[in-house]
Amino acid sequence: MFPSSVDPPRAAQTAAKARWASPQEAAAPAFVLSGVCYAYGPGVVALRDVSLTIGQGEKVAILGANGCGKSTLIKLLGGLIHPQSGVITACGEPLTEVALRGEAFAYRFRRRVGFIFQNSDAQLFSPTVREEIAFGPLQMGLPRVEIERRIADLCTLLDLNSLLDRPPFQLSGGEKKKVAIASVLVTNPDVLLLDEPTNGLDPRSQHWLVDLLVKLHAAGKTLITATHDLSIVPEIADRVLVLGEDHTLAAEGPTHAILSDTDLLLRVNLIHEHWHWHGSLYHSHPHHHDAAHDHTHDGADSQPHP
Amino acid sequence: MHIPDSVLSPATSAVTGAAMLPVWALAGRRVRQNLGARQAPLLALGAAFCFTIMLFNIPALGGTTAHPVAGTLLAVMIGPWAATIGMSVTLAIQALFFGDGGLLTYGANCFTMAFVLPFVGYSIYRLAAGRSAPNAPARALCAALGAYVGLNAAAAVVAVLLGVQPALFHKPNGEALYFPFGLKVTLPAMLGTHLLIAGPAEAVVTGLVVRYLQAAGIPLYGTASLAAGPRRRREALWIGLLALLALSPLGLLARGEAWGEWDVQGLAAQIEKTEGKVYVPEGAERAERHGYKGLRGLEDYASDDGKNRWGYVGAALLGVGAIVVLTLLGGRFLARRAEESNGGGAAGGNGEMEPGQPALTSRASPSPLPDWLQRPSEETAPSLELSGRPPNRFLERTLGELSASAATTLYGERWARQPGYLQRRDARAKVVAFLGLIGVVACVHNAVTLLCLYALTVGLAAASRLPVRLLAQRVWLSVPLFIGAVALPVALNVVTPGRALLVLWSRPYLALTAPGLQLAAMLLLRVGVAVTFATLLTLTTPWNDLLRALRALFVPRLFVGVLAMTYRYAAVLLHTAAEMFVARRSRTVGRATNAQGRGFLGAAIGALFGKALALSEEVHAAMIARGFQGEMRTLSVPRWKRADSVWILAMALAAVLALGGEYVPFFR
Repeated sequence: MFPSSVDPPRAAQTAAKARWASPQEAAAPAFVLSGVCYAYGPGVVALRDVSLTIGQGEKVAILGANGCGKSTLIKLLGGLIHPQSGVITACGEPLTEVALRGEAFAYRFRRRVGFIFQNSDAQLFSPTVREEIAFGPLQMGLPRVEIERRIADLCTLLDLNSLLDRPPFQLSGGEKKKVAIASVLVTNPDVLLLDEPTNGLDPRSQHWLVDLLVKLHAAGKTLITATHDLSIVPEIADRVLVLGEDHTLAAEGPTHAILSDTDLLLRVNLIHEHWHWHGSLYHSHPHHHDAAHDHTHDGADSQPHP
Repeated sequence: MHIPDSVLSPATSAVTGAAMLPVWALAGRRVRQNLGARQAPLLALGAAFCFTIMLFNIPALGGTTAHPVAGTLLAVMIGPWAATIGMSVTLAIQALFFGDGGLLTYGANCFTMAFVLPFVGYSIYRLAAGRSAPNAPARALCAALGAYVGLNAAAAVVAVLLGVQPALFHKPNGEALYFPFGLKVTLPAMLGTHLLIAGPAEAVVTGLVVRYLQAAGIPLYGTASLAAGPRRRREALWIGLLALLALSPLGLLARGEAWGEWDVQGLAAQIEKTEGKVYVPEGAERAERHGYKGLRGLEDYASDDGKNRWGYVGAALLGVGAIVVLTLLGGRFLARRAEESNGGGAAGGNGEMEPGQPALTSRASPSPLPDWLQRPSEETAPSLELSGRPPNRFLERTLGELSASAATTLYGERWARQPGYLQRRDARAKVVAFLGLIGVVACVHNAVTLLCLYALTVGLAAASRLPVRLLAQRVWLSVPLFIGAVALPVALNVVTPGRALLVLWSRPYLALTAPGLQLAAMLLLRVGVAVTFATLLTLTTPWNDLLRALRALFVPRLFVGVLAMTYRYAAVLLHTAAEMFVARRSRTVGRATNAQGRGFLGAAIGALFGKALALSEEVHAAMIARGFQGEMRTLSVPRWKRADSVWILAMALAAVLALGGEYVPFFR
């Protein structure tokens, strides 16, 4: 049922490890957090004492209700904010504000770790799609010929050719997301951090995006996705980290184990009482009765899970 | 307050532009120190915010509306230096895109609105607020006071810039070369409107926005350090700046004869100087003898023996009235056009709530919804008096303008992407050529030459497959809005004496005079031709090419980068603002009072600033995540073709011909 439930495919893992520069980097996990706390101000705590490890080549989902600290955690992983206490290491190297001021480390880290923001509008700040995609590699000093080649490849992969010279604000929500992804993939990062990637996308675009992520993972990329869209979790994650509303790590484990644990999901306010997970089938349906109910899973409201 | 092209002499434009250079340099340095890598997104969002709220209409005195300029507000929020850059970027977009303010007069417009306005406004605010608590209501009042004084200071500087034109730049016979009115007309005209209408509106909105920001916990500039540590001595800085401010107009006194504008004796002297011979061009002499003497009447006025004083004050008031009337008419016209183009799309939002509609669901089980929510909507609210009057104009007009601007920003590149002659020219070649030609238009004072230059624009438009009629409409409908208010009194006998063509009033005597009409027509024609050139440039050049051309022409990277980002986020903020206004309209029945309207605008602007600030943080993070370390790297500039050189040469030839035509006797 879950052939790759805990461990990523071995081939992918080796591919991921081959990318890292030194042997000890290759051996080190992508991220290790120990005792991390973050607050946006006095009394506005976002994360409380979070410790976790994410290996290279893994695909991990961070689940949690609105406001429990998912975005904060993923920003910490992206080196965009830094914890008030606790330690984060990325591939064995400490990830701190001071370390990121060093150009060599900043360059290594930014190339390895790509960040796809929830709000595509914030991510697309360049005047045209072409310049948007070129922004990252230009900052990192890739040769122009190489940049042009990568842009052309990505345009074929993501079907962006007709959009290249358009300004980003003329695009639809789905197109914006595609461009945002292209602008991150162009530097070929090993780790992809995704903040609510399917937010605001129509079902077809969601499906397309999940497909793409699965392919990227098969190619050896580490996927770390913050989401509350449970329907995509089985495909984009083998392992799930659950943040509770008290801003601590409430649970972690293989995807099917976590998603089957209705009590846990209810406790962290991710689901309502009529949400169901039955082995390979999950579904939810509106209810207007309080009594217990029973039903079968051969109806149209059930979806088989791959 | 935006000064269009060819109203100021090129010398004034140059002096004010030069005065801005050290200000920009200093502002760039200060901003870099204070903000570091954060500067680009914050400045861009600040400018986009400014651009958006400058499209808002504030209900003002007697049913008129005014646009906020927001310079003081921006300075209070992000600091005066950042405000200078933000306002400069806003003005660049307005000049390049919407024809608000000229290209050559960009320096002058920046001087008034990006330097005088934020610095005077902010100084007053700082002096008045002192060390009061960051959340003190007094701060809002001080900001309002600052906005009022700042706006009027800027208006006064505009009036001075315009008013010194006839005294400094005139033909020896007294005929003004550029702007025709002296200080005694411009000062009351500008200050009248700003003291009474725009100033109070600006002050109220600024105060309300500051209140909103305080309530929302968004810190104002400079208040974070208030609680801690001793303040650095800034007073010396302010005194220096104010002195600079006071001295700047003196730079204008470095007067000289406008090139090509000598009278017959001057021309003879010039010829003697260059050729070593003494002769007077016959045609020029004949023209001098029989030609019209234009504004000679203004000499009396300039010497002011008092006999005509009331006439001038009357003319000034007439000018103010004309501005008000034209703005109202223009606003109504634009609003109607915007409504037509919207196709009543906004009206559709009201159709949903029909009374008597059955409840969505009716279930037997007890519902957690409160009783009143399960009943159909009431027919009318019992306590509401419906006035039957149309909804508020400021809402409608602001919506109209927001959607029109969004349309321009989103679809304005339609013509630029068509195949055509100008579209194929390199953007750098176009920028250089059109700036040069606008400069030529500013120097030309001969109707025939101007008409030839206009014919050139029509030819270029046709060769570029632009709709010539649409272009003419766009220019000639917008030009009279600003300049018509000035041109109208010029045509009257009180300003330009001469043969009366049409007597409007016999006692007191008021008539349109022949030389007056001629002068007014010249003024309109010159501004119109300059605006047409600017419009051709922006219509045929995609925005990104324009930016790259500016970069190639040594405009600093920071400025171009911020300009690009501003344009991009102006679209986002315009959209957000329009949504706020539609949301407001969908919940409004009948007419709100002006005070309610201003309250809503204050809250809307405050909320918009909060969003802009949050967005700028996100953009900054997104840039950092992709390896940005403070230095913006962009793709290269496209290649220069031989046809571009041909184009530059052709336009240089046209410029030489036009300037030559100024004093070659054949044309006279």
